Amino acid sequence: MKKIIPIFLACFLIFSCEPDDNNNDVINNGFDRQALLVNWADNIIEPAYNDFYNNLEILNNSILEFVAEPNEIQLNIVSDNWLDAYKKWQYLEMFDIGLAEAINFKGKINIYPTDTDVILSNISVGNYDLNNNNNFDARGFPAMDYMIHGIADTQDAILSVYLNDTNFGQYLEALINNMLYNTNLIIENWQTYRFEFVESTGNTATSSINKVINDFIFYFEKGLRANKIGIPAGVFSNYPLPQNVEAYFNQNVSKELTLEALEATKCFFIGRHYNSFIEGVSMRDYLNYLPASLESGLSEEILSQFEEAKNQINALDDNFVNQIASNNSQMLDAYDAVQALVVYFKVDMLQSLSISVDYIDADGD
Amino acid sequence: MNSQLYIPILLILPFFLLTSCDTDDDHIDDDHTHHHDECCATGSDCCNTNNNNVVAPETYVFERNGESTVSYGGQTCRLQMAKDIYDALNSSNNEFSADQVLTMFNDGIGFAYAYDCGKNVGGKTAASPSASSTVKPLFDQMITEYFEVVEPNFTNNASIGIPGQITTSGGNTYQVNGQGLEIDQAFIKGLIGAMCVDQMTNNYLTSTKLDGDGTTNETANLGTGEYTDMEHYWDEGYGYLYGYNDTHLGGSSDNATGVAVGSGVLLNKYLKKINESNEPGIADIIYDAFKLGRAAIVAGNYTLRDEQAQIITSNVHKLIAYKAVDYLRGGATTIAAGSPMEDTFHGLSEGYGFVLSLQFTNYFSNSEVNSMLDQLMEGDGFWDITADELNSMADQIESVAGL
Repeated sequence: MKKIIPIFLACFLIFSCEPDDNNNDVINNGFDRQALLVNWADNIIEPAYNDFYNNLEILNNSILEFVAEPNEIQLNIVSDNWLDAYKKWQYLEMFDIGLAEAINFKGKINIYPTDTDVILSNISVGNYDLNNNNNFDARGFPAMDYMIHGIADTQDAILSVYLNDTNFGQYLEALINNMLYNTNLIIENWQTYRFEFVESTGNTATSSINKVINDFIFYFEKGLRANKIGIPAGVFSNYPLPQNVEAYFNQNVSKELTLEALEATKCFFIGRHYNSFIEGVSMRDYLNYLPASLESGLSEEILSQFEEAKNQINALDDNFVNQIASNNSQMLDAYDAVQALVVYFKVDMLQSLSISVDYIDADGD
Repeated sequence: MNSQLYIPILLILPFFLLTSCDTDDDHIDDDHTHHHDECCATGSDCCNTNNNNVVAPETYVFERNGESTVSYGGQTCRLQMAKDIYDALNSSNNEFSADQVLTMFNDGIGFAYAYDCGKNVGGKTAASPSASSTVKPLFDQMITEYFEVVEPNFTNNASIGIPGQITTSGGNTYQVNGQGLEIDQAFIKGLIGAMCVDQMTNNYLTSTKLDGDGTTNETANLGTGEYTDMEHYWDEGYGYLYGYNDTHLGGSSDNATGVAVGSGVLLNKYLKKINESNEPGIADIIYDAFKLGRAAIVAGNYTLRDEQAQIITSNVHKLIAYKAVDYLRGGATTIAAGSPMEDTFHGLSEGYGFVLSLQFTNYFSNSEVNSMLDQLMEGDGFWDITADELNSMADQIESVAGL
């Protein structure tokens, strides 16, 4: 069925969190847009950045210990900390706003597939600037994935690499340092940018709500749907590209990362405070505040589609490379379930909120 | 993200809704103003019509400073390629291999005619935002199946579970798989939905696509013959129905020369058939809506544009339902008459493709269509299908489509 807007009435009560501060800047149908921005800034974005930074520091400490004395136990600790931090990252990639957008933060942290040739060349030449965009696919989590899981066939062989050539340990340290450096830049900037962010309550292309919601949808469409599922499953190519899964060299965590990302987007949609069950002012509230989308039950439709997408992804192999090889059709089913959310967000939600999409897919002709 | 040029559509709309007869002239080509004058001269209160004075031209001709702004070369190229792929799916004696035809389908190269448009069919097969990603691989699989299963048995006699050739009571021969399915028919009829209908009605004619980021209809810097993105999107939708011609092969067929010329093997062919049987006049309805919608874009009247898109969509979807029903009922009638099962296979294979196409209409979802397709293929496929099964499926389609 192609009709996107649900035509039946929701036959159940929908809870709507009324904005609790009526003195805030109130425009556009009376919804308290500033309360929405404050919740995003103070309860979601900033805590997520701080937690991410803490995880990077933990990862950094384990890397320093590993490089000082490469051994199997410490390599496993690095791997565990890498995964923990990578999961926290899934809560941040959608916020391509402010300084994060200006310095291409997501491009510094999570471009995959990583280019192993560039990494090895960097290591052998020894003169590299990871902040330079020439190294866009030789840094961040995907590069670290290669360095700790894929640089040799077995764990013993990986350890030998680090024991025999200290340049590899230096590159690992350079990777985490670059991630710490850029994350810190954003956190520091956020201290002041936060005030500008929450004051920008208008409905223009450059106002905070429009940008965040556009970024959210763009991320959902590209970062989540396409990068994590669609591209590896071959939706945008003639054949599947399993080498393009997230965390290719670990492989066993591609589903875990995707589920985390889906959860992060759902939490943001319902305004859930970071790492908490408290639900603040949200996109869902905004949709439920507007009579048309309240009546159509759009937010409930979205939430039930989130469940459907989660179930479809859950049904996949932990290792997407294996899943693509054994039954790619199931990957495509999961893709469809996520794509249905893209349509809800990009068509129904934006129409309801009177927000224009600020990017165009260049797929004409 | 490029957001500087954003203009809220909602702010624009009231402006156009309020435009009067006089100011509307500014938005209409010189070509069209005389229509407008006629409209007023005949005494009709044109300012109060829901068209807001937008007048469609006689034919789908739109110009900027005297040169055409209509462009759908990419669609023409794809429709031409699709015809070649269809022919390859009826080839024999190792004239083609699966890899060759998959390359033609997915990469747009390897054809006898050297297309230089840089387009391909596969990339626009079940490729709209609402299409299921599970469908495109089915088309790849059909190509593979033809060359691995059917073509090697081109002249062997087919029987239950055995691919090969069938001969009808009338003496026609067709090549089918073990279930009696003729792959080229399923493929090309399926492509009518998966490419033509899906791209037109689920992509190009949607307000999401047409409006884009709100800057798609800016005319400020356009020169002679140049078009806006929105105009072009609309033309591309148009192209999937009227874009086929065979002039690249030295032929003179061109579907753009009339409302239902019927050339080629895709949607326009069935527009003609239905216009001559099931629903005379439907071709004019669709063509008029394409013209008026395009004129509405030139005039900036997006409400009128969307109304025309809706007219096109609902009528094009009806074409698919009509043909699915016709072929299913045709099979049922043949079976009920006691004819050999083989007599039904060609038509049922076409029906299979149209049922596949139904998921790109507003009538049925991907999973609903999959269960219909499963039902057609279950057991021994067409060899053991019954008239009751076919009639009940046709009933269901008629009922949902409101035919």
